[in-house]
Amino acid sequence: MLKEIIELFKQDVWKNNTILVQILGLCPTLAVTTTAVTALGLALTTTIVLAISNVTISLCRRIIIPEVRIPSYILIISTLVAVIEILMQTFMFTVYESMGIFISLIVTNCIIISHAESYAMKHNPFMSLLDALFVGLGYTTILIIVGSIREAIGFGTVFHGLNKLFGEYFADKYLSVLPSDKTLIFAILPPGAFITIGLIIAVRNAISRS
Amino acid sequence: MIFLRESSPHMRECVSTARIMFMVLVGLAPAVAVHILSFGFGLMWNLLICTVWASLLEAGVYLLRRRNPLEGLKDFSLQVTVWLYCLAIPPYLSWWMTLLGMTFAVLIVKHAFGGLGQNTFNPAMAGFLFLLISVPSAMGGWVIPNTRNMEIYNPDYSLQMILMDHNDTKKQMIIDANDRLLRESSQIDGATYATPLNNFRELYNFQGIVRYVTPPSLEVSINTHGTTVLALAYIAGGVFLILAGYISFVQPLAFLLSMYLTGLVISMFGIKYGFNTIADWEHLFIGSTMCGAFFIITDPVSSPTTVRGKIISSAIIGSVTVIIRTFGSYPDAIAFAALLGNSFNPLINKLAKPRRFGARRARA
Repeated sequence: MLKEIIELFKQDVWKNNTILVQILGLCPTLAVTTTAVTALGLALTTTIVLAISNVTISLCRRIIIPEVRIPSYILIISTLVAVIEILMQTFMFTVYESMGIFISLIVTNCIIISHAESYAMKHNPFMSLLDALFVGLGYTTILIIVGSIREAIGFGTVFHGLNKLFGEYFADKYLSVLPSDKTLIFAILPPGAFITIGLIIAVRNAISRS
Repeated sequence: MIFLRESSPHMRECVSTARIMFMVLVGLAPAVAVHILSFGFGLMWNLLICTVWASLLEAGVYLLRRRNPLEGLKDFSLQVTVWLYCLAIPPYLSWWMTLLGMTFAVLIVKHAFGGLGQNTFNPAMAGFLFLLISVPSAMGGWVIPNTRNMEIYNPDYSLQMILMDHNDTKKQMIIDANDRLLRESSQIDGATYATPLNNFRELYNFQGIVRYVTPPSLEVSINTHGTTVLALAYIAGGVFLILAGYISFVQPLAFLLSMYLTGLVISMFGIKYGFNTIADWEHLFIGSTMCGAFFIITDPVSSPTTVRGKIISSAIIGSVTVIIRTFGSYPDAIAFAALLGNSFNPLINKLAKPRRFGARRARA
């Protein structure tokens, strides 16, 4: 059992990292990683949705009819996302505002549907939960890395605006990396996202090859 | 007797890459001379630092790929990239920005795609655009073309300007020098290289002025723009390359024709609906049109292989340039249009495949 969990961890975080290897869910990844904080916010939201959807689908795996399984996933996932969106609107309005449409777009995130299909349908709820958490960990890590790099080059700060997520204590807890007249707007535009992710994939390939 | 067996092509051109690239440099030489004549010695320093830096990067990449580091420096392709890039950027851009754009061009655009002959996009233009959207304020720092710039921006002062970081003081220095030139010279119109396009747009955007109700004659257009000489230098270099057989005439022709026609259509509707800011003739002699026509879209690596493909690609780039110039938010559009055109190349290469001899025409 433990061995299985460790193997799952390795698979989800490194060997089959959703962004670096499977290149899944790129749309939100490219769009919200302009700063580290929005990246973290979306990654956490996606992880929560993924965890709940994986468990739900795993619980329902015996009653879902195979022929209509994709619509069933969509139904479950979109319900979840709608609920979470309303919750965020109520309790974390600033975060909700900064992520805008991308919260609703989690419905179409291929990571969630692919793990529903490839993992949750075939495993028990506990393992499905772990799978979701490990995938979420890998996803969050990469999103934070991409977000930090782009924010550092594009705005000269890292983790600016952490208070939006975790309360006023974090209002000025951020790093200043570059003076504001040395920043490159390129990094926070879409091509900057593609190139950053491309370079990170290159680094990953170099590490795994050596 | 030994019979060698080898696959086609059996006949080889004796013209090497190095020779072609060297000839392109010769074709660019008049433009470089005119550039220094009208903008001062900034270009000279830029060429120097970019050549050194790009050669180091190139050698570094070849070392990483476990090849002879001097191999990449033997042909002049890197030099062509450096020259085009330095002609495109403002001559008194801060040194670190210049080198950053060059780094992007060599490492990401050229070598991340596989090096010489493999790059999808034109490295010089991509490096230029990288800077244009990264540091737009510094990229607007053009000086007015005037032969007196040779005295003002002498080698010493040019170097100082290049080493100076971009800030309000530097911006003001360039603006002041421009103003002085304008006041002292009797010429009324001191419109500059990339900025006239900007001026037209600002006039239109902020004051609602449509500059021309009817297109001016060719003559008026030429006389009012200070960089026409530079355009002529590009034409001279380009014609030399065409006559010497290093580039084909179809690309510039298709490009300019499509540009003119698109400009014509846009000004026809523009006069009626009030969005026209540049007359059709002007598109051909303004901004970097001629540089684009003869030196950028003719890049053998990033343009399609067949003649038909070349015509299609050039026509696309030409009309996109005019469309972006009229409706876009950046002053000039050759670089954007060229990269967009480059990205069509794989598709164009597939669609414009020549028919095999004897094969039937494909039925749709």
